Amino acid sequence: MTVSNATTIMVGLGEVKISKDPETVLACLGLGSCVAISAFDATAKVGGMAHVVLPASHGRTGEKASRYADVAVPLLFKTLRERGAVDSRLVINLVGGAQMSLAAGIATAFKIGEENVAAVSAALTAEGLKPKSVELGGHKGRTIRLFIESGKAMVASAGEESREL
Amino acid sequence: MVEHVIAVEDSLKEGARLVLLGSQNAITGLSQMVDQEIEMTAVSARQIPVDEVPDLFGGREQVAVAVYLAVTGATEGHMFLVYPPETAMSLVDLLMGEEPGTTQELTEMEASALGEMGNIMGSFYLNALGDASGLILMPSPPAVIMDMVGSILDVALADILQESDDALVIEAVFSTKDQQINGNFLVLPSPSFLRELSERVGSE
Repeated sequence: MTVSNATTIMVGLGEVKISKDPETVLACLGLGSCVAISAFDATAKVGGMAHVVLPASHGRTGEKASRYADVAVPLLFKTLRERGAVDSRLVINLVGGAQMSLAAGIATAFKIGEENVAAVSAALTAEGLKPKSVELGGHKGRTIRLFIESGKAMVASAGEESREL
Repeated sequence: MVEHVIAVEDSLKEGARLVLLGSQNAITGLSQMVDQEIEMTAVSARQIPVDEVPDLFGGREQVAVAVYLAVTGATEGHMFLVYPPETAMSLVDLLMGEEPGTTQELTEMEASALGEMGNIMGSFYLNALGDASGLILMPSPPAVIMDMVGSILDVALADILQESDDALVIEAVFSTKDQQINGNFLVLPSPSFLRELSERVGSE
């Protein structure tokens, strides 16, 4: 893999980013309760990624509203379509939504991962889309990288080799 | 010499001062636990964008060891002790009274020692805040996590983002007399909690 030449574009908390540059890699690092949505159209050669932090915007708008699942998911796919992506060709991966493994009795404070997963899934269904693969829940943090040159989506956890989704 | 830096907006200043006091007390707790003099070398309260908090620990993908305690009682919040694995192992040496360099891995016993450290520091921290504000604040049992920094902090950062784009980071740096260990105690209080603390203290 020609990783060395590629520039990594970090998709930070609540950001949505799109790339058509084959020399780039879109990445969400160290996802815990956050959920990354990665999408790629091999024909239009365009990829996008969203880094969802919270489930529901409750009507909040503006630049920062993309931290919410119900805003980020439609925004990601609207922008991808504007850049030539076609729904039926999109390969979609969902990663994240983990819950820290905690002492008994305090786990209830950590429903946010589950809520993010549910909200992202609902927003995706509302768009009429289905993920190709999901790596959701569990107790480990994850990193996802989408290589725009090949469309490969790779996921990794601490101390593990990265795997293709 | 202890360097104090308080760079936060006025409405949060009183609260931040209390949190600094609590952090100092947490280090006193650690000092008593290991029966060794531990100095606080610097303490700061700063407001930074939430997205930049993981950079304080080497970035979102960096693997770290964290002790997590939830705050319950009059308010809900999160407390973390986050260390690079090497520092965590040095702390285990300190806690167990071993020669520096003895601990080479983190099994259940080492994790339990770190959890107890978090318990003591968290309790001392919350007691100081409670005494000063009259609020009843209790720590949950500690959880010890080894994972990527981003994933450790996500839940706390998501909570703060519901209220504010900036996080208030209170950091107390400590070291043992012989400089074998440098560690920090970091808390991310929510803006609403700080405001409540500020009002409580201000009204007395």
